[in-house]
Amino acid sequence: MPISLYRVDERLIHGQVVVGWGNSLKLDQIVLANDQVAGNPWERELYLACVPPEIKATILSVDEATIRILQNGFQEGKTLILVDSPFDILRMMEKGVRIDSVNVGGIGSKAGRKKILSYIFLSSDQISAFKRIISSGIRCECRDVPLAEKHDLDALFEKLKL
Amino acid sequence: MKLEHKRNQGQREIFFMIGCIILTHADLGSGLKNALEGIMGQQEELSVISNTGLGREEMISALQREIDKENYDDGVVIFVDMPGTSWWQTAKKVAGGMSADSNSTPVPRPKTAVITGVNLPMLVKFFTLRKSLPLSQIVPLIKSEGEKGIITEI
Repeated sequence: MPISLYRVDERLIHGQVVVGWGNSLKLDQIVLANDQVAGNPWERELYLACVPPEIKATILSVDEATIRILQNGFQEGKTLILVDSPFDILRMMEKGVRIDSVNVGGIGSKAGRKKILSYIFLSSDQISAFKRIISSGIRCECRDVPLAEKHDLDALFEKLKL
Repeated sequence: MKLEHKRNQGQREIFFMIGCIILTHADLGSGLKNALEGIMGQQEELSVISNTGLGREEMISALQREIDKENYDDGVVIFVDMPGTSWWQTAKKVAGGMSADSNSTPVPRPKTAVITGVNLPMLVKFFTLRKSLPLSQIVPLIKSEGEKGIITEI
């Protein structure tokens, strides 16, 4: 089975992902691809504790996750790949991972970031990264939880003249 | 802060002052604060933070800022609405003294408790006891009060 969802979410594994997307997609597996968490045993344990026992959780560096995806390593059941920034999606694409669409969840407010939606604030580097993702034919859909309204990121960029 | 407080209380002697920080999704925390103060009157050393619009680094700094505002000599209880959520992770990182440097051993913050599933019975119990018992004794009592507050009829 192909990957069910690629999601960008700065909060990584949290309620919206586990409860929201987990229930709606009936996920079997969540793969957190994040170098910082993968490299820190304490944080790994903390994020693993946030996934209910019926969902398998795997934490890998972005490179490790990329290799596993390219080797069709997540074929069993429904898998969500979770990263915290568009840069990690680009890293996966550049290594040859084929992605149809990216779900954009929360990217929080911070100095130097521009408001795109109530839950999405982007720096100029993040905007450029998303534009590169979009220009390679990948749809970027903003939706924090499954029942929320979908917003096409490209259309939002156009509307905000970004 | 603590000394002034002692004077304001007249004859009643105060032994402790345990702080309270409530971390929730959306406006649940401010709703709980309003409800609690409706029952018990205005409270000091009670702060509320919502996760709305905050990324995980910002949540850590928001909580750290709130903790640094007071000295919390006698301790602080961090109430979280739900386990497994971003605030729970944040609270555990801050209370557990986790740093971004994976090579350093985490040094837990002293007298900092984290409790999930915050509800009104738990908060009422906490604010009733927080000046008369040490943190180590308060935590099990408020946990049990929170659980006792759940009664089902079917």
